[in-house]
Amino acid sequence: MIRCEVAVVHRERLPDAARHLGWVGSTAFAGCDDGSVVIVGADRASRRVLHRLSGPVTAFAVGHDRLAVGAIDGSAAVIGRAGTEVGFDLGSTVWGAGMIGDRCAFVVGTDVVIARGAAHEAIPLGLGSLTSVTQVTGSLAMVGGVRGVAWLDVGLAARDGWIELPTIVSLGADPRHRFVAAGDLGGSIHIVRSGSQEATELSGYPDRVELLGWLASGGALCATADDELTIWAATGDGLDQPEPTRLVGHDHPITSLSTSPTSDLVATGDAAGHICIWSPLDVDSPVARMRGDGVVLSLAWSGTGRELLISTSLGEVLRYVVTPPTA
Amino acid sequence: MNPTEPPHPPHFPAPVRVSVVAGGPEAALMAARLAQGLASGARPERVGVIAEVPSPEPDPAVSWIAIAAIEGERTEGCGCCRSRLDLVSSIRLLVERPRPVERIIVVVDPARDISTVTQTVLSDPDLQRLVELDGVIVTVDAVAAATRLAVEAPFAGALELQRLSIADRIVVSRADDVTDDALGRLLGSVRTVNRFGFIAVPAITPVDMGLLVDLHAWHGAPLVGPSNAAEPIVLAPGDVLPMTVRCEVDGVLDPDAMDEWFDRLLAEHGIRLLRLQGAVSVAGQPHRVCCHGVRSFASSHSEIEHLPEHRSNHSLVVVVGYHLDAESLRSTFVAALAH
Repeated sequence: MIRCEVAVVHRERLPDAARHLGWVGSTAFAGCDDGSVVIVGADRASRRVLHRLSGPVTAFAVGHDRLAVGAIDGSAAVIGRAGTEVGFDLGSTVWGAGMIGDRCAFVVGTDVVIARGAAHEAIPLGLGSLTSVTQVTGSLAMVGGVRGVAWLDVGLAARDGWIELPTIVSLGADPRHRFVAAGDLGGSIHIVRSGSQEATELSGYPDRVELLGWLASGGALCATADDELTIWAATGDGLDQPEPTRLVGHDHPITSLSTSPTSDLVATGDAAGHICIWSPLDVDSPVARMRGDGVVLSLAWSGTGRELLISTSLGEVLRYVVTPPTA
Repeated sequence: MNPTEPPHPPHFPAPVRVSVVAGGPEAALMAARLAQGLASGARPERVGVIAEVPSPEPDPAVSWIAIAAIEGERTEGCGCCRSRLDLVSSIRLLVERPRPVERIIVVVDPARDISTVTQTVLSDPDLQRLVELDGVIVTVDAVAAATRLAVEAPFAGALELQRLSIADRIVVSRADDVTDDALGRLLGSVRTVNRFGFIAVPAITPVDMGLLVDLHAWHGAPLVGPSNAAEPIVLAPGDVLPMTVRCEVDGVLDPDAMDEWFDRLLAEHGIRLLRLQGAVSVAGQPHRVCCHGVRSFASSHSEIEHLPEHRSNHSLVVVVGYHLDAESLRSTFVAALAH
């Protein structure tokens, strides 16, 4: 039996729920429903609200040295470690954000707004309402919408082909840059080879495929739909085996997923506050279990893969040190 | 039919009630005032409103989310399983936080299909664990309707007919600005379209908030007026009147035959079903089984949730939709009696 050692090293309660978490270097950040973007773990006296959007944070992306955040009312900002670099009013709900090269991409209505410094430009994609964006490699991004997915060259601010699909609700880019996975509303995953205009469908999920994540090695894709968590093994040819491996550990809908950037560990959290860490070395049971005090809203591994941040609907934020599995 | 229970995590012992308010531009105003009333009533509630427009009467006591609609499809080009993604996100935002709202009002824009909203609230897995649909309130502006009535077209189009046909409460505003004759004709027309809902005319009789909330209207067997109470309907060219078909029988129904009846109903009519609701007495079940649905979605649960000591052998299912084969629906329903 493989087990992973976990120890909580920080616990705090924020004034409102943090639906988004992320790390810039060794500093952890939270994007909250009261519009604030805060540093997690700063002592109370020095805790800083880095920025306050005018509505709940709905989009949150982490780059090497900056954050891009957007809110339900269209307010958005790019934030560095020292504070706000630039703020925008994008006019409508920001549904997604991505840090792509030296630019930020915000998903707003039917457009992607590309920001560089204080300048920003809206690119209509023709996919209807947009839902998500992810960096694939370099300045290439994929954008999901109600009519499918499109390739976007953020450097050129131009669409580079699209694929008609059912409504896309999640995107996940392979860290080895070979594939992008797109989860749809009807319970299928569409695998798109980088630069391709065709997709392979993996169907059979009970509901929309809400969360996607690739293992750090690129060796497998994790996907969730309702309380179901599956892993598809990936090869250079794609994900073509008939059935994924199902991981059994959650009795309630899975609400958050994060894959470690350095090891093949996956963290998942559910609506009842249960958090599991999984290793592909032991798919029969989680290698660690933790508990939060509300719906698990977000999980985020640190860049070193040694720390895991957890937030819940009651405003609790937990920081765990995770020691890789031992047999 | 095996009743199924949606899971409710321990953090949310009671699902938050959702009232859907639809109509013309006056619907947002009514929602704002209803929310204000609930937030400042004898037992103040935390109320959230989700709409596509800003609040016409902003109130710091009400969490008003103005958000653009995102309508998604499970299958490309299939209208029978559309879903409002913006609603799912907004409702999660109002409920999954340290001080969640206790009630939500969703305002449906006049240009939107109300069935997409009701289907989302009933069928989305996140919303099934967080909220329950309390009722549909539809507003009608008497002045605008009376003006259209004068040219023999009282309804603004298919979307208005659709929302009126499934409403649990119909609030007719500005009734004191039209003649008694016009109001009478308007009320007759509305009753023809809708056989479920109470029609309130605040200009004639003040409407208490209790008439609009805590309806539990999408649970249990509905109260449906007889079809002979309906007036001949006047429709604009091209408009189709939604039908209300009442299927009922006394006696215990065969569970397999009943399953087959529901399966056929959804398979054959799916996209055309605006509302499906009832309670059926099925062999092998200690209590009647309640069902409700929209378009291709339907679910069921035991009536014991509503009526602990009551067991009736009367089965009633009401189906509202377009181009329904009423005779076939009724006869096959009666044929499902267990022998």
